Amino acid sequence: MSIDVSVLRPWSIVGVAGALELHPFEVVRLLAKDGSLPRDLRLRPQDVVRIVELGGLEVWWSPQSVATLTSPSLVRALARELLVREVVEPIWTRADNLFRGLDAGSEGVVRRAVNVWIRSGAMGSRMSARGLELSVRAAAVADLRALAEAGSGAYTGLLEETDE
Amino acid sequence: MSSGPGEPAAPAIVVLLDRLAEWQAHEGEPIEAALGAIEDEERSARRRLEDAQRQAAALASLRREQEELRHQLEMESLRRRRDGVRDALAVDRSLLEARAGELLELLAARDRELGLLLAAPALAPAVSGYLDATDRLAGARGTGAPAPEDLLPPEDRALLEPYLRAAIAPPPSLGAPPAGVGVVISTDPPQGRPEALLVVLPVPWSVYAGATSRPEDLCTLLAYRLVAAVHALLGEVGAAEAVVRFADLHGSLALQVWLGDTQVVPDLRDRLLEGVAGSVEGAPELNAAGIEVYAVWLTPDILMESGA
Repeated sequence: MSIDVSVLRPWSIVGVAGALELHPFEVVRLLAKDGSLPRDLRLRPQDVVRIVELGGLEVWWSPQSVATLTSPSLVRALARELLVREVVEPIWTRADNLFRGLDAGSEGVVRRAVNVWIRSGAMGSRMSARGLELSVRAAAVADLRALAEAGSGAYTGLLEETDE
Repeated sequence: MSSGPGEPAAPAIVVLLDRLAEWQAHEGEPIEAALGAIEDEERSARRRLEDAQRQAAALASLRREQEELRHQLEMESLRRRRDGVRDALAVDRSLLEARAGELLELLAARDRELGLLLAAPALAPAVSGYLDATDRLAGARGTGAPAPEDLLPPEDRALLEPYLRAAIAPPPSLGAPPAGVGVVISTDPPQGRPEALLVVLPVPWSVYAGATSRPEDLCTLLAYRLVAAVHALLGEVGAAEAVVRFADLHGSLALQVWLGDTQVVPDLRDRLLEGVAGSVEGAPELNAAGIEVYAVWLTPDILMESGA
Protein backbone atom coordinates (compact mmCIF):
# COMPACT_ATOMS: atom_id res chain seq x y z
CA MET A 1 0.00 0.00 0.00
CA SER A 2 1.21 3.50 -0.79
CA ILE A 3 -0.05 6.92 0.24
CA ASP A 4 -0.66 9.68 -2.31
CA VAL A 5 2.00 12.13 -1.20
CA SER A 6 0.48 15.04 -3.08
CA VAL A 7 -2.00 15.54 -0.24
CA LEU A 8 0.90 16.42 2.06
CA ARG A 9 1.86 19.47 0.04
CA PRO A 10 0.43 22.96 0.12
CA TRP A 11 -1.92 23.49 -2.77
CA SER A 12 -0.73 23.85 -6.31
CA ILE A 13 -1.69 26.96 -8.25
CA VAL A 14 -3.64 24.94 -10.77
CA GLY A 15 -5.49 23.17 -7.96
CA VAL A 16 -6.52 26.41 -6.29
CA ALA A 17 -7.42 27.92 -9.63
CA GLY A 18 -9.68 24.97 -10.34
CA ALA A 19 -11.37 25.26 -6.96
CA LEU A 20 -11.95 28.99 -7.48
CA GLU A 21 -12.95 28.52 -11.14
CA LEU A 22 -10.15 30.80 -12.36
CA HIS A 23 -7.39 30.37 -14.90
CA PRO A 24 -4.11 29.59 -13.10
CA PHE A 25 -2.53 32.70 -14.63
CA GLU A 26 -5.26 34.82 -13.03
CA VAL A 27 -4.23 33.39 -9.66
CA VAL A 28 -0.62 34.31 -10.50
CA ARG A 29 -1.66 37.81 -11.58
CA LEU A 30 -3.59 38.49 -8.39
CA LEU A 31 -0.78 37.39 -6.07
CA ALA A 32 1.96 39.00 -8.18
CA LYS A 33 0.03 42.26 -8.05
CA ASP A 34 0.94 42.79 -4.41
CA GLY A 35 4.12 40.73 -4.38
CA SER A 36 2.63 37.84 -2.38
CA LEU A 37 3.18 34.98 -4.81
CA PRO A 38 5.11 32.40 -2.73
CA ARG A 39 8.58 31.66 -4.08
CA ASP A 40 7.84 27.93 -3.98
CA LEU A 41 4.65 28.49 -6.02
CA ARG A 42 2.66 26.53 -3.45
CA LEU A 43 -0.38 28.13 -1.87
CA ARG A 44 -1.46 28.15 1.75
CA PRO A 45 -4.88 29.07 3.12
CA GLN A 46 -3.87 32.70 3.66
CA ASP A 47 -2.86 32.93 -0.02
CA VAL A 48 -6.26 31.73 -1.07
CA VAL A 49 -7.98 34.28 1.15
CA ARG A 50 -5.79 36.94 -0.46
CA ILE A 51 -6.73 35.78 -3.96
CA VAL A 52 -10.41 36.03 -3.13
CA GLU A 53 -9.97 39.51 -1.67
CA LEU A 54 -7.72 40.87 -4.39
CA GLY A 55 -9.78 39.42 -7.18
CA GLY A 56 -13.16 40.46 -5.83
CA LEU A 57 -14.27 36.84 -6.22
CA GLU A 58 -17.82 36.08 -5.23
CA VAL A 59 -19.77 32.84 -5.16
CA TRP A 60 -23.36 33.52 -6.14
CA TRP A 61 -24.48 29.92 -6.47
CA SER A 62 -24.10 26.62 -4.71
CA PRO A 63 -25.10 23.20 -6.00
CA GLN A 64 -27.89 23.21 -3.39
CA SER A 65 -29.25 26.62 -4.39
CA VAL A 66 -29.29 25.74 -8.07
CA ALA A 67 -30.51 22.16 -7.81
CA THR A 68 -34.14 23.07 -7.38
CA LEU A 69 -34.24 25.89 -9.93
CA THR A 70 -35.75 25.51 -13.35
CA SER A 71 -34.16 27.52 -16.15
CA PRO A 72 -36.71 30.40 -15.90
CA SER A 73 -36.28 30.41 -12.12
CA LEU A 74 -32.54 30.59 -12.55
CA VAL A 75 -32.83 33.59 -14.89
CA ARG A 76 -35.08 35.35 -12.37
CA ALA A 77 -32.68 34.44 -9.58
CA LEU A 78 -29.83 35.87 -11.63
CA ALA A 79 -31.68 39.15 -12.11
CA ARG A 80 -32.36 39.21 -8.37
CA GLU A 81 -28.69 38.57 -7.53
CA LEU A 82 -27.57 41.37 -9.81
CA LEU A 83 -29.91 43.82 -8.10
CA VAL A 84 -29.31 42.62 -4.54
CA ARG A 85 -25.56 42.84 -5.10
CA GLU A 86 -26.10 46.28 -6.67
CA VAL A 87 -24.18 45.43 -9.82
CA VAL A 88 -25.56 48.54 -11.45
CA GLU A 89 -23.43 51.19 -13.14
CA PRO A 90 -21.00 52.48 -11.98
CA ILE A 91 -20.48 49.26 -10.04
CA TRP A 92 -18.96 46.47 -12.15
CA THR A 93 -18.36 42.83 -11.32
CA ARG A 94 -16.20 40.13 -12.82
CA ALA A 95 -18.19 38.16 -15.37
CA ASP A 96 -17.00 34.90 -13.83
CA ASN A 97 -18.73 35.84 -10.56
CA LEU A 98 -22.03 35.24 -12.34
CA PHE A 99 -21.06 31.69 -13.23
CA ARG A 100 -19.04 30.49 -10.24
CA GLY A 101 -20.66 27.49 -8.62
CA LEU A 102 -22.87 26.58 -11.58
CA ASP A 103 -22.81 23.29 -13.43
CA ALA A 104 -22.39 23.36 -17.20
CA GLY A 105 -26.12 23.32 -17.95
CA SER A 106 -26.96 26.14 -15.56
CA GLU A 107 -23.96 28.11 -16.78
CA GLY A 108 -25.39 27.90 -20.29
CA VAL A 109 -28.70 29.36 -19.10
CA VAL A 110 -26.98 32.23 -17.31
CA ARG A 111 -24.64 32.88 -20.24
CA ARG A 112 -27.59 33.07 -22.61
CA ALA A 113 -29.44 35.57 -20.42
CA VAL A 114 -26.33 37.72 -20.06
CA ASN A 115 -25.83 37.72 -23.83
CA VAL A 116 -29.43 38.84 -24.36
CA TRP A 117 -29.04 41.65 -21.84
CA ILE A 118 -25.76 42.80 -23.39
CA ARG A 119 -27.21 42.76 -26.90
CA SER A 120 -30.30 44.66 -25.79
CA GLY A 121 -28.25 47.26 -23.93
CA ALA A 122 -29.58 46.30 -20.51
CA MET A 123 -26.10 45.28 -19.46
CA GLY A 124 -22.72 46.82 -20.18
CA SER A 125 -19.53 44.85 -20.68
CA ARG A 126 -15.90 45.88 -20.67
CA MET A 127 -12.46 44.29 -20.68
CA SER A 128 -10.15 44.99 -17.78
CA ALA A 129 -7.05 43.50 -16.25
CA ARG A 130 -9.43 41.15 -14.40
CA GLY A 131 -10.98 39.97 -17.65
CA LEU A 132 -14.55 40.62 -18.76
CA GLU A 133 -16.63 42.75 -16.38
CA LEU A 134 -20.37 43.35 -16.40
CA SER A 135 -22.77 45.93 -15.03
CA VAL A 136 -26.51 46.49 -15.33
CA ARG A 137 -27.43 49.77 -17.02
CA ALA A 138 -29.39 52.09 -14.74
CA ALA A 139 -32.16 52.31 -17.31
CA ALA A 140 -32.67 48.56 -17.21
CA VAL A 141 -33.05 48.22 -13.44
CA ALA A 142 -36.85 48.40 -13.55
CA ASP A 143 -37.05 45.71 -16.21
CA LEU A 144 -34.74 43.39 -14.29
CA ARG A 145 -36.64 44.04 -11.07
CA ALA A 146 -39.92 43.17 -12.81
CA LEU A 147 -38.34 40.01 -14.13
CA ALA A 148 -36.91 39.06 -10.73
CA GLU A 149 -39.99 39.84 -8.67
CA ALA A 150 -42.88 39.01 -10.95
CA GLY A 151 -41.49 37.30 -13.99
CA SER A 152 -42.83 40.18 -16.05
CA GLY A 153 -41.52 43.13 -18.02
CA ALA A 154 -39.35 43.43 -21.08
CA TYR A 155 -37.51 40.16 -20.61
CA THR A 156 -40.34 37.66 -20.11
CA GLY A 157 -39.44 36.29 -23.54
CA LEU A 158 -36.19 35.19 -22.03
CA LEU A 159 -38.11 33.05 -19.56
CA GLU A 160 -40.12 31.43 -22.29
CA GLU A 161 -37.05 30.71 -24.38
CA THR A 162 -35.14 29.22 -21.48
CA ASP A 163 -38.15 27.13 -20.56
CA GLU A 164 -37.77 25.11 -23.74
CA MET B 1 38.10 105.91 -97.77
CA SER B 2 40.75 108.19 -99.41
CA SER B 3 40.70 109.52 -102.98
CA GLY B 4 43.30 108.50 -105.53
CA PRO B 5 45.24 110.99 -107.70
CA GLY B 6 42.89 112.76 -110.00
CA GLU B 7 39.94 111.46 -108.25
CA PRO B 8 37.61 113.91 -106.67
CA ALA B 9 37.77 114.01 -102.92
CA ALA B 10 35.02 111.98 -101.31
CA PRO B 11 32.37 113.85 -99.51
CA ALA B 12 33.15 114.36 -95.87
CA ILE B 13 30.19 112.33 -94.75
CA VAL B 14 31.40 109.34 -96.71
CA VAL B 15 34.87 109.72 -95.26
CA LEU B 16 33.42 109.93 -91.79
CA LEU B 17 31.32 106.83 -92.23
CA ASP B 18 34.23 104.94 -93.71
CA ARG B 19 36.39 105.86 -90.75
CA LEU B 20 33.66 104.90 -88.31
CA ALA B 21 33.24 101.57 -90.04
CA GLU B 22 36.97 100.92 -89.85
CA TRP B 23 37.00 101.93 -86.18
CA GLN B 24 34.06 99.68 -85.34
CA ALA B 25 35.60 96.78 -87.22
CA HIS B 26 38.84 97.28 -85.37
CA GLU B 27 37.20 97.58 -81.98
CA GLY B 28 34.79 94.72 -82.62
CA GLU B 29 37.41 92.27 -83.76
CA PRO B 30 38.51 91.11 -80.28
CA ILE B 31 34.89 91.07 -79.10
CA GLU B 32 33.86 88.83 -81.96
CA ALA B 33 36.87 86.69 -81.26
CA ALA B 34 35.89 86.47 -77.61
CA LEU B 35 32.26 85.66 -78.47
CA GLY B 36 33.44 82.96 -80.80
CA ALA B 37 35.61 81.51 -78.06
CA ILE B 38 32.73 81.66 -75.60
CA GLU B 39 30.44 79.90 -78.02
CA ASP B 40 33.07 77.22 -78.42
CA GLU B 41 33.32 76.92 -74.65
CA GLU B 42 29.53 76.83 -74.32
CA ARG B 43 29.28 74.06 -76.85
CA SER B 44 32.03 72.24 -75.02
CA ALA B 45 30.34 72.81 -71.68
CA ARG B 46 27.03 71.63 -73.03
CA ARG B 47 28.68 68.48 -74.29
CA ARG B 48 30.30 67.94 -70.90
CA LEU B 49 26.96 68.64 -69.20
CA GLU B 50 25.21 66.15 -71.44
CA ASP B 51 27.94 63.64 -70.70
CA ALA B 52 27.59 64.34 -66.97
CA GLN B 53 23.80 64.00 -67.19
CA ARG B 54 24.15 60.71 -68.99
CA GLN B 55 26.64 59.62 -66.33
CA ALA B 56 24.32 60.81 -63.55
CA ALA B 57 21.44 58.88 -65.08
CA ALA B 58 23.62 55.80 -65.32
CA LEU B 59 24.73 56.27 -61.71
CA ALA B 60 21.13 56.75 -60.59
CA SER B 61 20.25 53.50 -62.27
CA LEU B 62 23.18 51.79 -60.62
CA ARG B 63 22.14 53.32 -57.29
CA ARG B 64 18.61 51.99 -57.68
CA GLU B 65 19.97 48.54 -58.46
CA GLN B 66 22.24 48.61 -55.41
CA GLU B 67 19.49 49.99 -53.19
CA GLU B 68 17.20 47.21 -54.36
CA LEU B 69 19.94 44.71 -53.58
CA ARG B 70 20.43 46.30 -50.18
CA HIS B 71 16.66 46.14 -49.53
CA GLN B 72 16.62 42.51 -50.61
CA LEU B 73 19.56 41.83 -48.30
CA GLU B 74 17.77 43.53 -45.41
CA MET B 75 14.60 41.54 -46.10
CA GLU B 76 16.57 38.33 -46.36
CA SER B 77 18.40 39.18 -43.16
CA LEU B 78 15.07 39.90 -41.43
CA ARG B 79 13.59 36.68 -42.78
CA ARG B 80 16.61 34.70 -41.59
CA ARG B 81 16.45 36.39 -38.18
CA ARG B 82 12.72 35.62 -37.92
CA ASP B 83 13.35 32.02 -38.92
CA GLY B 84 16.25 31.87 -36.51
CA VAL B 85 14.17 33.21 -33.63
CA ARG B 86 11.36 30.80 -34.48
CA ASP B 87 13.82 27.90 -34.58
CA ALA B 88 15.50 29.03 -31.37
CA LEU B 89 12.15 29.26 -29.59
CA ALA B 90 11.34 25.74 -30.74
CA VAL B 91 14.72 24.49 -29.54
CA ASP B 92 14.20 26.08 -26.12
CA ARG B 93 10.68 24.68 -25.88
CA SER B 94 11.88 21.19 -26.73
CA LEU B 95 14.69 21.38 -24.21
CA LEU B 96 12.36 22.56 -21.45
CA GLU B 97 9.70 19.98 -22.27
CA ALA B 98 12.27 17.20 -22.29
CA ARG B 99 13.69 18.20 -18.94
CA ALA B 100 10.18 18.82 -17.58
CA GLY B 101 9.30 15.24 -18.41
CA GLU B 102 12.47 13.90 -16.80
CA LEU B 103 11.88 15.97 -13.69
CA LEU B 104 8.28 14.77 -13.40
CA GLU B 105 9.50 11.17 -13.53
CA LEU B 106 12.10 11.85 -10.87
CA LEU B 107 9.54 13.53 -8.62
CA ALA B 108 7.05 10.71 -9.15
CA ALA B 109 9.70 8.18 -8.12
CA ARG B 110 10.51 10.19 -5.03
CA ASP B 111 6.82 10.45 -4.18
CA ARG B 112 6.42 6.69 -4.57
CA GLU B 113 9.24 6.08 -2.13
CA LEU B 114 7.80 8.58 0.30
CA GLY B 115 4.35 7.07 -0.12
CA LEU B 116 5.68 3.64 0.80
CA LEU B 117 7.38 5.06 3.89
CA LEU B 118 4.14 6.73 4.90
CA ALA B 119 2.32 3.42 4.61
CA ALA B 120 4.27 2.08 7.59
CA PRO B 121 1.86 0.79 10.30
CA ALA B 122 3.42 3.05 12.91
CA LEU B 123 2.32 6.08 10.95
CA ALA B 124 -1.16 4.82 10.16
CA PRO B 125 -3.08 6.80 12.83
CA ALA B 126 -1.32 10.04 11.96
CA VAL B 127 -1.76 9.52 8.23
CA SER B 128 -5.38 8.57 8.71
CA GLY B 129 -5.96 11.71 10.79
CA TYR B 130 -4.29 13.81 8.13
CA LEU B 131 -6.39 12.33 5.33
CA ASP B 132 -9.56 12.83 7.38
CA ALA B 133 -8.60 16.47 7.92
CA THR B 134 -7.96 16.83 4.21
CA ASP B 135 -11.40 15.43 3.42
CA ARG B 136 -13.04 17.73 5.95
CA LEU B 137 -11.31 20.72 4.36
CA ALA B 138 -12.16 19.74 0.82
CA GLY B 139 -14.15 22.47 -0.84
CA ALA B 140 -13.18 24.96 1.85
CA ARG B 141 -10.55 26.68 -0.26
CA GLY B 142 -11.03 30.39 -0.30
CA THR B 143 -12.65 30.46 3.10
CA GLY B 144 -9.47 30.81 5.13
CA ALA B 145 -9.61 27.22 6.31
CA PRO B 146 -6.45 25.96 8.04
CA ALA B 147 -3.98 23.55 6.48
CA PRO B 148 -4.76 19.88 7.27
CA GLU B 149 -1.70 19.48 9.51
CA ASP B 150 -3.01 22.30 11.70
CA LEU B 151 -5.96 20.07 12.62
CA LEU B 152 -3.79 17.18 13.81
CA PRO B 153 -2.99 16.43 17.45
CA PRO B 154 0.54 17.69 18.24
CA GLU B 155 1.99 14.19 18.52
CA ASP B 156 0.64 13.12 15.13
CA ARG B 157 1.82 16.34 13.59
CA ALA B 158 5.31 15.80 15.02
CA LEU B 159 5.30 12.28 13.65
CA LEU B 160 4.38 13.46 10.18
CA GLU B 161 6.59 16.54 10.18
CA PRO B 162 9.62 14.91 8.49
CA TYR B 163 7.38 13.53 5.75
CA LEU B 164 5.63 16.85 5.26
CA ARG B 165 9.05 18.48 4.88
CA ALA B 166 10.18 15.75 2.50
CA ALA B 167 7.07 16.22 0.39
CA ILE B 168 7.89 19.87 -0.24
CA ALA B 169 11.65 19.46 -0.49
CA PRO B 170 13.25 20.99 -3.58
CA PRO B 171 13.21 18.63 -6.53
CA PRO B 172 16.24 16.38 -6.90
CA SER B 173 18.79 17.36 -9.51
CA LEU B 174 18.53 15.77 -12.93
CA GLY B 175 22.28 15.92 -13.23
CA ALA B 176 21.81 17.36 -16.70
CA PRO B 177 24.38 19.75 -18.15
CA PRO B 178 23.48 23.42 -17.67
CA ALA B 179 21.54 24.82 -20.58
CA GLY B 180 20.16 28.26 -21.31
CA VAL B 181 16.75 29.20 -22.61
CA GLY B 182 15.69 32.65 -23.77
CA VAL B 183 12.80 34.88 -22.83
CA VAL B 184 12.29 37.30 -25.69
CA ILE B 185 11.15 40.81 -24.88
CA SER B 186 10.13 43.47 -27.33
CA THR B 187 8.60 46.92 -27.10
CA ASP B 188 6.93 48.94 -29.78
CA PRO B 189 8.23 51.46 -30.61
CA PRO B 190 11.68 50.08 -29.85
CA GLN B 191 12.89 53.42 -28.48
CA GLY B 192 11.17 55.90 -26.20
CA ARG B 193 7.86 55.46 -24.39
CA PRO B 194 6.51 52.01 -25.27
CA GLU B 195 2.95 51.61 -26.51
CA ALA B 196 3.01 47.83 -26.61
CA LEU B 197 4.95 45.11 -24.89
CA LEU B 198 5.51 41.58 -26.13
CA VAL B 199 7.11 38.85 -24.03
CA VAL B 200 7.64 35.42 -25.56
CA LEU B 201 8.22 32.63 -23.08
CA PRO B 202 10.25 29.52 -23.94
CA VAL B 203 7.30 27.29 -23.11
CA PRO B 204 4.60 25.77 -25.33
CA TRP B 205 1.30 27.57 -25.90
CA SER B 206 -0.45 24.62 -24.27
CA VAL B 207 0.85 25.84 -20.89
CA TYR B 208 -1.85 28.50 -21.17
CA ALA B 209 -4.40 26.90 -23.48
CA GLY B 210 -4.37 23.53 -21.74
CA ALA B 211 -3.54 24.73 -18.25
CA THR B 212 -6.07 22.51 -16.54
CA SER B 213 -5.37 19.38 -18.54
CA ARG B 214 -1.58 19.17 -18.46
CA PRO B 215 0.73 18.55 -15.51
CA GLU B 216 1.95 21.55 -13.58
CA ASP B 217 5.50 20.89 -14.72
CA LEU B 218 8.76 22.76 -15.20
CA CYS B 219 7.32 24.67 -18.19
CA THR B 220 4.26 25.70 -16.21
CA LEU B 221 6.23 26.79 -13.17
CA LEU B 222 8.59 28.85 -15.34
CA ALA B 223 5.58 30.46 -17.00
CA TYR B 224 4.10 31.28 -13.56
CA ARG B 225 7.33 33.00 -12.53
CA LEU B 226 7.62 35.00 -15.75
CA VAL B 227 3.94 35.96 -15.87
CA ALA B 228 4.26 37.11 -12.26
CA ALA B 229 7.33 39.17 -13.19
CA VAL B 230 5.43 40.92 -15.98
CA HIS B 231 2.44 41.70 -13.75
CA ALA B 232 4.66 42.87 -10.91
CA LEU B 233 6.47 45.21 -13.24
CA LEU B 234 3.24 46.54 -14.74
CA GLY B 235 2.13 47.34 -11.21
CA GLU B 236 5.40 49.10 -10.43
CA VAL B 237 5.21 51.32 -13.51
CA GLY B 238 1.60 52.32 -13.00
CA ALA B 239 0.11 49.98 -15.59
CA ALA B 240 -1.52 47.44 -13.26
CA GLU B 241 -4.81 47.89 -15.10
CA ALA B 242 -3.30 47.14 -18.51
CA VAL B 243 -4.93 44.13 -20.12
CA VAL B 244 -2.52 41.24 -20.68
CA ARG B 245 -3.46 38.96 -23.54
CA PHE B 246 -1.98 35.51 -24.02
CA ALA B 247 -1.21 34.42 -27.55
CA ASP B 248 0.33 31.58 -29.52
CA LEU B 249 3.46 32.90 -31.23
CA HIS B 250 5.11 30.22 -33.38
CA GLY B 251 3.98 27.62 -30.85
CA SER B 252 5.31 29.53 -27.86
CA LEU B 253 3.31 31.27 -25.18
CA ALA B 254 3.46 35.04 -25.60
CA LEU B 255 2.13 37.89 -23.48
CA GLN B 256 0.88 40.96 -25.31
CA VAL B 257 0.24 44.14 -23.36
CA TRP B 258 -1.22 47.32 -24.82
CA LEU B 259 0.31 50.24 -22.95
CA GLY B 260 -0.98 53.08 -25.08
CA ASP B 261 -3.54 54.08 -22.45
CA THR B 262 -0.97 54.28 -19.67
CA GLN B 263 1.96 56.54 -18.88
CA VAL B 264 4.64 53.89 -18.78
CA VAL B 265 8.23 54.86 -18.14
CA PRO B 266 10.57 54.69 -21.12
CA ASP B 267 12.99 52.34 -19.33
CA LEU B 268 10.42 49.54 -19.19
CA ARG B 269 12.68 47.34 -21.31
CA ASP B 270 15.62 47.50 -18.90
CA ARG B 271 13.38 47.02 -15.89
CA LEU B 272 11.74 44.01 -17.47
CA LEU B 273 15.11 42.48 -18.35
CA GLU B 274 16.04 42.86 -14.68
CA GLY B 275 12.63 41.62 -13.51
CA VAL B 276 12.88 38.43 -15.52
CA ALA B 277 16.32 37.69 -14.10
CA GLY B 278 15.04 38.30 -10.56
CA SER B 279 11.94 36.16 -11.00
CA VAL B 280 13.86 32.99 -11.82
CA GLU B 281 16.79 33.52 -9.48
CA GLY B 282 17.16 30.55 -7.16
CA ALA B 283 14.06 28.77 -8.51
CA PRO B 284 14.54 25.20 -7.21
CA GLU B 285 12.91 23.46 -10.16
CA LEU B 286 15.12 25.32 -12.64
CA ASN B 287 18.21 24.55 -10.60
CA ALA B 288 17.23 20.89 -10.48
CA ALA B 289 16.75 20.81 -14.23
CA GLY B 290 19.99 22.70 -14.95
CA ILE B 291 18.09 25.45 -16.74
CA GLU B 292 19.34 29.02 -16.89
CA VAL B 293 16.99 31.69 -18.16
CA TYR B 294 18.25 34.61 -20.20
CA ALA B 295 16.21 37.64 -21.20
CA VAL B 296 16.83 38.85 -24.74
CA TRP B 297 15.51 42.05 -26.25
CA LEU B 298 14.59 42.14 -29.94
CA THR B 299 12.97 44.73 -32.16
CA PRO B 300 9.31 43.91 -32.82
CA ASP B 301 9.77 43.43 -36.58
CA ILE B 302 11.80 40.30 -35.88
CA LEU B 303 9.00 38.77 -33.87
CA MET B 304 5.97 39.83 -35.85
CA GLU B 305 5.24 39.67 -39.55
CA SER B 306 4.15 43.02 -40.97
CA GLY B 307 0.49 43.47 -40.27
CA ALA B 308 0.41 40.41 -38.03
